[in-house]
This record gives sequence, C-alpha cells and structure tokens, in this order.
Amino acid sequence: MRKPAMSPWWAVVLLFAATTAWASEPVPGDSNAEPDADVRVLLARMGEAMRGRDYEGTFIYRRADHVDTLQVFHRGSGGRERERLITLAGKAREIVRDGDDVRCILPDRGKVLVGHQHSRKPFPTALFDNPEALFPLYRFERDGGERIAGRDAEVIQVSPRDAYRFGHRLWVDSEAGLLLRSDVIDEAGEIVEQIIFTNVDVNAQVDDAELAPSTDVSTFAEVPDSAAEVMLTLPAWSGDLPPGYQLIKRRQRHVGADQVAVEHLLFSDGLSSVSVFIDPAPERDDLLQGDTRHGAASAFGAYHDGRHVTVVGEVPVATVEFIGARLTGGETADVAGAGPAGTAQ
Amino acid sequence: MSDPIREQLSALMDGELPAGEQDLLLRRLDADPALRAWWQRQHRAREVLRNEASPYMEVDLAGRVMAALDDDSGFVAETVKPNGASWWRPVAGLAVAASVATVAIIGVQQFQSQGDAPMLVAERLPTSGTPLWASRENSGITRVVAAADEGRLRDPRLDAYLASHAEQAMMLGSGGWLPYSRLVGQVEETPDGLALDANR
Repeated sequence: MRKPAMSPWWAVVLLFAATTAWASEPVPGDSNAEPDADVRVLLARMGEAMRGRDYEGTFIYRRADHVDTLQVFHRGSGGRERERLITLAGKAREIVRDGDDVRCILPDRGKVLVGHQHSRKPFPTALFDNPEALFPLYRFERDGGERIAGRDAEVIQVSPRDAYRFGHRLWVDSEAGLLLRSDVIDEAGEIVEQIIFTNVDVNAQVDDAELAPSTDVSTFAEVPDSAAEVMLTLPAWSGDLPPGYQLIKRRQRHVGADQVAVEHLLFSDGLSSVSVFIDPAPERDDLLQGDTRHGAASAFGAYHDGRHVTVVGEVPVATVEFIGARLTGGETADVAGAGPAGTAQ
Repeated sequence: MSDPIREQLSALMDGELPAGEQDLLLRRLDADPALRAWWQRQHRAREVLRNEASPYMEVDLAGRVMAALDDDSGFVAETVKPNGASWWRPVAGLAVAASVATVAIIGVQQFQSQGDAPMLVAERLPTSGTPLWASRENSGITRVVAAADEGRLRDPRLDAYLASHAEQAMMLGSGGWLPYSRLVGQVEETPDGLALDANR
C-alpha cells in the first residue's frame, strides 16, 4: 500500500500557502458560538462511523436536472479505509479508494484517472475529522429525527453564518452514526443537491472482491494526476477571500478540448470549495462573462488585464463574485449588508 | 391552462409533436410562467419515475412525487397515490432551483431555426435531426435547460472547469460521498474529451 507521503511539490505549496497574500476576511457574527454538547457528540460519532465502519448501501444523488443512483462499499476496520462507489444507472462509472489513492474508472473511455486524496492536511477534512473547524463558519443545531432507509436518524441543521456558503442538513443514523442523508440548501432555502440512502447495511461484511473494480481495467490507460507536479511561479496578483476560505492547491492544468494551459487554484472552507481558473492569454472571446448558476454550482467569469478568470464552485453566486471581482478589479458583491445568512438565531 | 396546451406539451415531451407546432408552443412556454412551472414539474416527475424503475430503489418515489403534483397533473393523474409524505419537496425545490428566466427546450430543430445558437448544437448534440429531448429519452434523461444556462453552455470550457473542480474537490476527502457523486455527475454530463484533462 502506498503511503501518502508529502511530495516536495506539496511542501512548496504549503510554503506558498503560508506566505501568500491571500487573506480571509474576518468571520462576521458570533463566531465563538459552539453547538450544544449533544450535537458535538453526534458529529464525533458520525466522523468515527464514516471512517471506521464496514457498510454498504445504495444512495441517490440529485442536483439540478440530474439524478444518479450509486452503490457504495466501505471498509474501515483494520485501520485503512477502502471504499468503492459504482453507478447503478446511466453510464458506468466507478470510484475506488484505497487509503489516499483514488481511482476513477471510465469504462466507456477505457481510462482510469488516478489521484491522491489530500492526506488530511494542510486542511483537515473538516466535517468528519475536525468539525470544530467549521463552528466559526456554520451553526450546527439538532432538529429532531426522521427515518431514512428504514433506520432512525437524528437531524442536524448546518446553517452558514454568512452569505458565502450553502447550508446543509444532515441525517445521522441514531444507532450506527452513518450519514444517511445530506442536503445542500441554498440561500433561498431550496435544496440544490441531495444524497439519500435508499437502503444501507451498517454491519456489512465487505470482502475484497467488493472493493475491487468490477471492470477489468488491465487494458485501460492510466491517467496520472501529473499536472500536480507543475509548480508555478507566484502570481502577479493576490486577493481577499471570503471568511474561512483557504488556498488548498495551486497548479497548472490543461483543460478542455483545446487543451489550454490554465492556472487552477482550489480554495475550501472545510465543507465548501471553490476553484479559480486563470487563462493567462485567452485566444477566444466567447468565454464566460458574468454570473451563471446551475443547481448548486455557481460560476463567474471575466476578462481582465489580458487574462480570463473563471471562478466555479458549489457555493452561492456571492462567493464566486467575491473572489472573481477581487481578481479582476471589478465591482464586489455587497452581501455583507444583507446580513449573515445564519443570524436568525 | 387549457387541456390542448397540456396535451401539446406532453406530446413535445414524448418527442411526438410535429415540428411545425413546436415553435409556437415554445414561444408560449416562454411567455407563461405557470405553464413553465407545470412543464418542469412534469419533467421532474418523469425523471424520478425513470429512476424509480431501477430495481435498487426501495422507496416508492414515483407515487410520492405524483401525489405531490398539484391538481393539474394532467397525463399522470391516474398514477397519483395519496400517500404524500414530504419527498416531493426536494424535488420541487430542485425544479425551482433549475428554473431561471426562460426555459428553452434544446432541440436541433429549434436551434436550426435560430441563428444565434447553432454553436450549442455543434458542441453538445449529435448532428442527426433528432431533437435532444427525444434522443436523451433513451438514456433516461430529459433535459430542460434554463436560458441563463446558455452562458454556461456557450462557454466551451465551463464544463471542463466544473469537472476539474469536482475532481480536485473530491481529493479533499471532505463531505462524505457528495464530492464523489459530483465528479460522477460531471463526467456523466460532459461530452467526451471535453471535460477532463485529456493529456494528464
């Protein structure tokens, strides 16, 4: 098995992240407010169960005009997490994770995309490993119970404390601690994304065969995440970020049919993430300008200083605008005046 | 809303409306928010129904979604079961989230008659004469795209960016299966070769 060793590349990025001019704005509101003890216990139990349990189940994923049905097998016993997700309808897609190694199998393209999950650092995987990191940004509250997939679940409402992230609603198995349903809720209170188990076996015997790809991938082309090794010089620009967001990753990528080299920056607040793509010398004039939103995904694009900047993420439009405007010197969205989304307490 | 209109819309959804009647109907849809809302609900219901057909689904989604549709549920009225529960709420919510300004039904015939949109067709659709909503029927997805999405669709790179974002966000390992599912969704939706870095 492969140890998720920190590459020199990562060290450089860490250094960059530590010295960058990127700075998050202070968190508005009562950032010290902590959730009740029972919520903290429930969150801790959920994290433990999601990592450590052996389970299998079927869930539906919905967003905008899209529905997928997936099956998941997870083995946590033995100290090393292994899991496999496979689509049950539509195009065959499979994601196999072994520790920090992640493979996405695309049978119709004869390809395996190989990547490495960030080894819990520099940004902890907050919801399951370190929910405390989210308390200044989101308010966690109990909100009764419901049955999901034939099991009793406790509901936790996760409300953003400002307008720069979506809310969540979590259904946690009362007995086993697994996350049985999770909704992403936008600023209008609409559910924009949803995962819900239709059946789950919380005490499954997950054997090796169930964790191995169902397709013979021996003839598939392995596509490594080699772009990660391209390190860039510091950008000429920098900017403020909405509260709580941190730079996670910065790299060069070749994207799209025309294979243009763009700079890709990934930001996260521990639960929500945003990407910035910068085309240093756009050759086309039909790239996105302004805002657009599709289900949970928001995007902002602008030409500025000979570059084209695109900001995308499963966040409110305010967030992609905030970041985009600071990169392009444009007007910033004044959402602070509207009051933090989570101040209704 | 008159029954003939609903019948026409149902025919459109089924890919059975003559080309000559499509233009007028689409213009009507464009101008009438209530009609648009009804149209979207029907689409949602059909989508859920198709997924319900999966043997893996234990939940009686279809029944609940149908029950949730209001009185004017038209062609699906006979399948309504009165055991509502609250399942439909997310469904309706998603429909609302997907609805922006104007709904356009992507079809080759429609775009062929509109000078400003052929790029979409070239990039997203097979160049057969089949309307997208008909060809997608077979793959289990009927697609309704809001006009505000045109910017997204027109930007030849946005899908690629979204897929790239989904992939990297997945590697953060936070949020359970949501990031995985997002990647699956992105790869699913994106035309071959466009989305993921081909030369990685």
